[in-house]
Amino acid sequence: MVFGARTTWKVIWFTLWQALISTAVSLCVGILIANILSRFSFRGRGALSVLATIPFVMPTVVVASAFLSLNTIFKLEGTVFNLEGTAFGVIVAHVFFNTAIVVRTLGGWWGQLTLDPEYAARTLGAGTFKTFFLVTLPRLKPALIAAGSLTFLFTFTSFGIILILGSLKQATIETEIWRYATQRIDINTAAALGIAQLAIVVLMLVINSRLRNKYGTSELGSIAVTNEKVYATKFRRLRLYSGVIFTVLFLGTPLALLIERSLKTPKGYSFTYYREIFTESQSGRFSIFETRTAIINSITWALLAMAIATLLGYLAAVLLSSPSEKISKPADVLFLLPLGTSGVLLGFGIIVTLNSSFWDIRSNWWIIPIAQAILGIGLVARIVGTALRDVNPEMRNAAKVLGASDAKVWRHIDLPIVSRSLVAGASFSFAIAIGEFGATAFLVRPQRPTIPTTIFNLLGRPGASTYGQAMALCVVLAGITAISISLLDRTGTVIRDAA
Amino acid sequence: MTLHNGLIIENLDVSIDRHKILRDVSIDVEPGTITTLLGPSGCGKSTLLKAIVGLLSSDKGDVTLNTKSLVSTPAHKRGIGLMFQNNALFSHMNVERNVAFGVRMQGQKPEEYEEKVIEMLDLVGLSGFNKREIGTLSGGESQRVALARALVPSPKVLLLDEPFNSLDRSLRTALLDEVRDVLKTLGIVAIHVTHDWDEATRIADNIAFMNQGQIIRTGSIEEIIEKPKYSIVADLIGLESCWAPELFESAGIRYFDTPWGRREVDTPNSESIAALIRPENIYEKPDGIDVEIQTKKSAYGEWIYKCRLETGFIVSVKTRKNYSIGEKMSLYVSVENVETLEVL
Repeated sequence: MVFGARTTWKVIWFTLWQALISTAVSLCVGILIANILSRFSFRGRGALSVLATIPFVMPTVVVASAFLSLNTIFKLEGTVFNLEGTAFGVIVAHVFFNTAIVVRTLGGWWGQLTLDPEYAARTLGAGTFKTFFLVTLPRLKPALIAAGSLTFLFTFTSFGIILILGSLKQATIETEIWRYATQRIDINTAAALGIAQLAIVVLMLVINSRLRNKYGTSELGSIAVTNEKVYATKFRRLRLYSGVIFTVLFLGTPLALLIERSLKTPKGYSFTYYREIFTESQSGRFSIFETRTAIINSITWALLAMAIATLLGYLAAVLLSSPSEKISKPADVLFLLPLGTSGVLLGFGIIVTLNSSFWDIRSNWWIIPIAQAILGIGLVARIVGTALRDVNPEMRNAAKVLGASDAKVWRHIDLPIVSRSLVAGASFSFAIAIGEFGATAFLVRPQRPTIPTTIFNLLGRPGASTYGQAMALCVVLAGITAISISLLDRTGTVIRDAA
Repeated sequence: MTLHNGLIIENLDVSIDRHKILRDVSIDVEPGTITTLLGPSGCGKSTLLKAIVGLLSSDKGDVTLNTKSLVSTPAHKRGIGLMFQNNALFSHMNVERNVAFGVRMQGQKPEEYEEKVIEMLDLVGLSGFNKREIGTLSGGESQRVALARALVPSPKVLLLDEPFNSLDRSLRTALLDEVRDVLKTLGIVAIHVTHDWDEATRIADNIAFMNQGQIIRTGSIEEIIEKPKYSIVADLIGLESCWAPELFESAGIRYFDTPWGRREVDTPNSESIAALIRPENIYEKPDGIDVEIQTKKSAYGEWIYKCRLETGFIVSVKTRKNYSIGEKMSLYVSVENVETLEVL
């Protein structure tokens, strides 16, 4: 029935085309930034590389809020560049969010490619553009496919950005599932849409898995820079400077404006909104939005989710990196599923399947970190699995013949080698958990809020104060994410050095 | 420097990241000749090739081909071919598309270049390889494709950046001979880079030695062998019996001591010098100086021994006699045959 409705097909069509365009534009912008980070050595490259990664770990509600503030500050409403409630806004926010995936995937691959084929093309008469399109781009194909399919997956199942920025005027399958399940209480329609979404996601995952196996690439690696010296012409310098300026403006402006909005009160710039979100009173508005509880809940649950995701993700990675294809191949598809599964679908699934009167675990708080962990397992498994595959089995054998027990082999060989990846996986799973909105939107109870759900609720209320608090809370969330990721990164070094 | 239709590099300076890599480099490659650029790793050989081909810009100096300056011409318009160390084949194209790349860039249509591609593949011994994928080629085949690819656009100059390094010795020598034949047949000016003297003698008409970004010695193979001039050149061409003696001065004459007597220094401008004894000038003689054999190897039906003298320095001796390592030999050298070289 639901598929007979014209509106359903409109939603499916919009979901598809916005994902395709978002992916295409993300790839173009990602190529530009990855080129600068991988092919140029310049002062400030490290900072730019961090800036290019930040959007990926930013919670979707933060990104959407940042673009809302952009809309307000530049008074874009009513213009062709209006970001609120338009497909344009959704695509721009998606590009901002997913460029990091493209940059990291492409940057890792590009920096390791030797420059010689490009030089060969130049000496054979190809100009800059012909060299790029005929030689560089085909060489980047594996990384482009890996980054493109992952970006498509994320934009296809995007929820927070569509819900906040699209304001339900731009509905996708994901937001419709949420709307049917929570607003209209039409579980059947929501389920039908969920199945349609799952079918497309599974198809994408299988394609992604096949392509990755064919080309042997991995996503989200660290950005490598070529160690070859590159010819510095005026044109190249111009490319570098314009690229750096574009990157800083495109990726930095929304975040900078978010901070500005969080400080701007009707009486001028102050920390009023920050004070308000940290001081809860029992009366008035603050009892509705228990912001301090939300911060504590978010951190606690994200830490729990990170621990679960890292542990299970590591075990999954062991299966993924198994030398036996009978184990590694099914494991690859199995553990890809959580990566492609959207939060909304997971939250909805939990609500529907655990709807048992005998033991209604939906209302238990611990279902939230478990759901958040499930969403992170795939990423941990992918990142750690790649590192484990790179461990030379002969090293383990050498350690064994030198008297190391299996446990010691793991402690002194496997762990130090994969520690960086394990920590990277843990960081990402923490970032996913703390910013998770889709599943949490289904599972939280009003008395147990999280930061993203509180931001969403604050944005839904009129008034400068609630808007300012939402912005402040976004900055807090972004800050927690950034601090935890940098702390975890240090832990990785400590683990490696300890070995 | 004489004006001719070949390749002339004059006083070239190149910097990368504000570090001067090449200083005042001048080379003159006459039409139809092959010059080998020889020097230790990291001396700037590959940088020089990249500057000649236009992939690196120069701070000063000129690169002239057929009396026309190229410094302001971009790489893709210079008409200079380059063969890379790792062949740099386009792995996403098959052999034919790789080889035809240059002529496609010139805007030629398949019907115009097809025959030339086939001819060139034939010339490098790869007939019938047109549709082969790059990943299926052996090391030698890949280098042949790279050579064909560099030659199809009919470059006026071909630069070869240690292209045979990764190949085994027999294949390398076979390919060097083939490349020399092809270059001579087509009358192409070429600069070939290597750090291997044997390879240089196989392909080159002239040699240019490079050290720390400068050309220190140029000449024909015979001239270089006859007068290496610098100890580093002697070392690179395999003259191993070279040492730095302590210098003395008496009545305005500088000299140093050898186990076979005093030798006057005949390189008056050099502050520090090296002494060289060529293997053919060292004889076995019963009343010579006793030395102990350190290592031995066989070459061209003779034994080459490295022996340590009491003073500590090592000399190479060639003989047909078979000795064991650790055995003593008695050696004689006529002091006039001890050459003096400059040390850079």
